[in-house]
Amino acid sequence: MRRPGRHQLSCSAVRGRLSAYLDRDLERRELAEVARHLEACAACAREEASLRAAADLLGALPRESASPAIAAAVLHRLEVERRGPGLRLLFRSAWQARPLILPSLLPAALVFGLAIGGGLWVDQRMSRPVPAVPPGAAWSARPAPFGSEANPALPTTGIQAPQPLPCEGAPAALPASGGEDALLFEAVVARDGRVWSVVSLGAGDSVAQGLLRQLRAERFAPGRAAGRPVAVTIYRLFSRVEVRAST
Amino acid sequence: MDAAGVSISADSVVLPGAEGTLVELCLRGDGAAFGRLVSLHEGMVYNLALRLLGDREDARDLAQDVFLQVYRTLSGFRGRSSLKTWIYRITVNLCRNRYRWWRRRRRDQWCRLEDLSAAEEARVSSARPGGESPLAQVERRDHARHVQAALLDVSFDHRTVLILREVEGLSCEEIAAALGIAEGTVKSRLARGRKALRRSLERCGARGGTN
Repeated sequence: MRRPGRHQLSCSAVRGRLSAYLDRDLERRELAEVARHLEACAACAREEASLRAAADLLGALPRESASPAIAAAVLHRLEVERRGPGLRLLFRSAWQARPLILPSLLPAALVFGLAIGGGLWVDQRMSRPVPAVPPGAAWSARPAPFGSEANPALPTTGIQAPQPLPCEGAPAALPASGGEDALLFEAVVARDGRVWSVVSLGAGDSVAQGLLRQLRAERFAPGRAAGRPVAVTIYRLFSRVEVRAST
Repeated sequence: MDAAGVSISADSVVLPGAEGTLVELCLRGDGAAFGRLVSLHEGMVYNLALRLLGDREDARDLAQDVFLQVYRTLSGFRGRSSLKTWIYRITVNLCRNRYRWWRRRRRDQWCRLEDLSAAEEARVSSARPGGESPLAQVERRDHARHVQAALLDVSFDHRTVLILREVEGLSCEEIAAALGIAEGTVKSRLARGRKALRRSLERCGARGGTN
């Protein structure tokens, strides 16, 4: 490579300017300096010639005519889009395809909220304690909940029977009188331990009536089912046996 | 009216002259006017796409897509550049997207320029003064294929600048406006692109690139 003189460009400087030189996109002074260098430097001149030849080859590429179908095809596609709602469906955006998606989400959310709220409300009602049906209340077509005083449980497996609590005064017992007899009573012990109802399953004589009053005054630890107090039907048998000493 | 003679309206910009009238008619929905607009620019769009992509079918398809996009976005054209420059930009962007799509699918056959049809050959050769011998036609066709192959070997950005400069004859300023880049970037890509093309031509063994 030539070493630059006082006012001459180096080969590397010239080669960095060759592209601009090809386009004549340099200051007049620079153009002249590059031209002088190319006249004197064969290597740089070859470099410039090869770049120019490559550019000329590109420029010489044949210009092809666009197919006559391009304009017609474009207009045809535009016409189809304009005319055909069916085909237009293929080119619409997702928002255009579902313009009512937001307005329909609001009532859907409302219905969903109502369904969830209704379910929660019903669940709350079901878990509330069922009010006791007073004895003698009119029969209702809807069965009373299991374990309530109107539908007491029986002391079976899984049902803890009510336990009598120590009571004030003498416990219920048949009065001491002659003869042997047995009286059977059916009682419903309520969830609070009180005797909700008691009936004699035998004859309604005066002895049974007296015992009924005693039984109604009794108190129990309430029966339980799965740890929950429930009303339980119990049966009380009172029997009197005369015992005579043998002689 | 600004210094360039372009009037600005609230809706769109009207270009001066026949081009401005054509755009105005297109915006009013005049189908014939749009057909005329397509006819005026389809050659430029097709050839640019052809040189960028190297495939005639793809270039035809892409040219249609370019004009469909022109139609759909014409109302947004503000006249800051010429209509031709604006269409150049759309073409280059769509070609870039198509090129990336190819590259993701590792398209192997990059140069598929088929021979011109016989009718096209006859038309091209008859357009040359004095006609062209069959041997010259074959040589020219073969030569073009090599140059196109070498061109496709250059990176897309360099190739774009080379084609706009050497084939379409745009100035660096016009290329910068068309691509939306700085003029200095255009010159830099042009310099590197020319060197890359020269190396590619040497590899492809085309005539005129190795001397």
